[in-house]
Amino acid sequence: MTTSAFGVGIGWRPEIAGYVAGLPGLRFTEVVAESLHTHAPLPDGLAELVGRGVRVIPHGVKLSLGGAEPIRDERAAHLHRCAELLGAPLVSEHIAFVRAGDLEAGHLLPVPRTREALDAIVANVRRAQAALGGVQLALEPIAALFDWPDPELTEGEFLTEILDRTGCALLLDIANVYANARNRGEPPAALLDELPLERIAYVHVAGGVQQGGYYHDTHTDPTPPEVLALVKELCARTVPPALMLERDGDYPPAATLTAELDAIAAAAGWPAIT
Amino acid sequence: MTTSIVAGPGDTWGIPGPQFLWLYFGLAAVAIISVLIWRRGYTAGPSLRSARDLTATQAALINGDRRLAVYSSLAALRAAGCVESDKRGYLHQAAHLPTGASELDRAVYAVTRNGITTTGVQTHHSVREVLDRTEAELARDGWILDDQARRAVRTGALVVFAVLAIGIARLFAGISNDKPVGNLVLLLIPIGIAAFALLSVRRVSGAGKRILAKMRRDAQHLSPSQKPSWTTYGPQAAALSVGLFGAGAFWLADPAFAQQAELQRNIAQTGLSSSSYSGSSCSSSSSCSSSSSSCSSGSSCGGGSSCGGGGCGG
Repeated sequence: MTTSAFGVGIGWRPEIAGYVAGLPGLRFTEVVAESLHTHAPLPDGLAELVGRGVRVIPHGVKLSLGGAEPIRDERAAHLHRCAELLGAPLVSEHIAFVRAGDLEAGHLLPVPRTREALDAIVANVRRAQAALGGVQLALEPIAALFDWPDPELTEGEFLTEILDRTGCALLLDIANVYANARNRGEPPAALLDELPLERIAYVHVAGGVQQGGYYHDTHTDPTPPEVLALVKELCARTVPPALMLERDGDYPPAATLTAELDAIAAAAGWPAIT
Repeated sequence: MTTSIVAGPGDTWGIPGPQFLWLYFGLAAVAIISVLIWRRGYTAGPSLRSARDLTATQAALINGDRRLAVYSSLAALRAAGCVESDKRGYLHQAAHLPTGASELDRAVYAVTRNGITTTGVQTHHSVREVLDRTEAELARDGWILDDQARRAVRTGALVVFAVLAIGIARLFAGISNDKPVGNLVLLLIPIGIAAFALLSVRRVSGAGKRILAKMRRDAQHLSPSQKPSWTTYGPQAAALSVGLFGAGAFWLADPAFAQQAELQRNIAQTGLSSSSYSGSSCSSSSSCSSSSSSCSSGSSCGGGSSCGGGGCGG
């Protein structure tokens, strides 16, 4: 049995904080950075996990690294304060844009895969890195229902170049890999061949649903077997430091979450944390 | 100017004013302290060291009232999916009762067989019987004081009222004797306040309050500020959430049912204090047609909901 540094984890959400805290083998979790107030002490449940030695990573969702305008430094500084508060050596964000001007999309939107967009992202990532004061940044490619027309680079080339030029780690969302491949009609494992898997900081696993001809990465449905198969495929190629289940709503009974975490561990060939 | 402490012919009751004030102050202090110590025998309650945690029904009865106890059972039944409310606010059975249901859960479930309002549940004799028995047990174990015990504790105040009466008698005697009574009046005011304060006896013992506080700390994940998922934690946790944190927990977790069943919102409301996590608040402007829980702004979906076409994508 291959061992990973942190094993299987699940995202810390207040709605299920008691369940997360009760997982005996938990060594890794993630908290949405924008929901933490850094001027106040950590929420009780989270402080307890940090005290137990569980690695808690702040996960940003609103930095808008893929925006045409420069990121707001105070948002990056917030990520930095979250990392300090949690004692985290790493923060993560998406390669996406969530706003244009003052218009908030409320969604993670895809970036065109052009040289120009790439340069803008690299500039934004460097700006974020400066505000992070040495805390490592992991970048997560998103799932998108559409691609911008006329891409100049493949997704693998685009992501690899961003990582190469910025020195960032990769937060690979295996469910996004599946969703994009399925919606584009490509084989899901193909992207794995293109990505620098050795740079994975950790991996997201999430559920979704097929609806209206598209696969939606909802985070509110169970992880489908196809995504678990991709977890197995990934873990056959590399040993990622952690696999983390992202569940953001429609929380199922504890036994169902436990079965899902066990299924992820089994797919990876890792010990169960439940 | 010197003050004589030797009784003179002009002194009220033959005791000089300053000397009386000191004696009277001492008497009042001894009386109040004695009554407080005596009361503790009734109001302290049992030691927490050997105590087991209370059930959801017990917690609700200590924290709130009989209504809250019924609500906590309804929370368990809702989390198990075995009761529903129609538009007129009548509760009906929707599925079989799961194993592990408490005595009150079973009683509440049974009376919903033919459709009944929430108020009807509270006043139904079989539900009242369980509540009566549970309250009697709580009183026997010292977590709450029943009416009889509270009346007994109130009698302690009589001692302080007696001291107050002596002071008032002296006051009138002093006035009729043309003596200054300002200091005595100043002393009588706090004694009077203490006497009346001692008439109030809380329903919950000191230990009852402490065990509730301890259980709230242990069950912080069930506080409404966390918007706990009743589906994940299960029926007994849902009942405990309402029992420990009040009816507001019900309104947050299951607003549609709470409204239809006309649950009172403000019973024993606690646990909504601002936490340093803002992820639990759900935008009311969401037009999401699926479950309301998918619109948490604390999700990893870019601050949006998973409704509409896009999914989360993060």
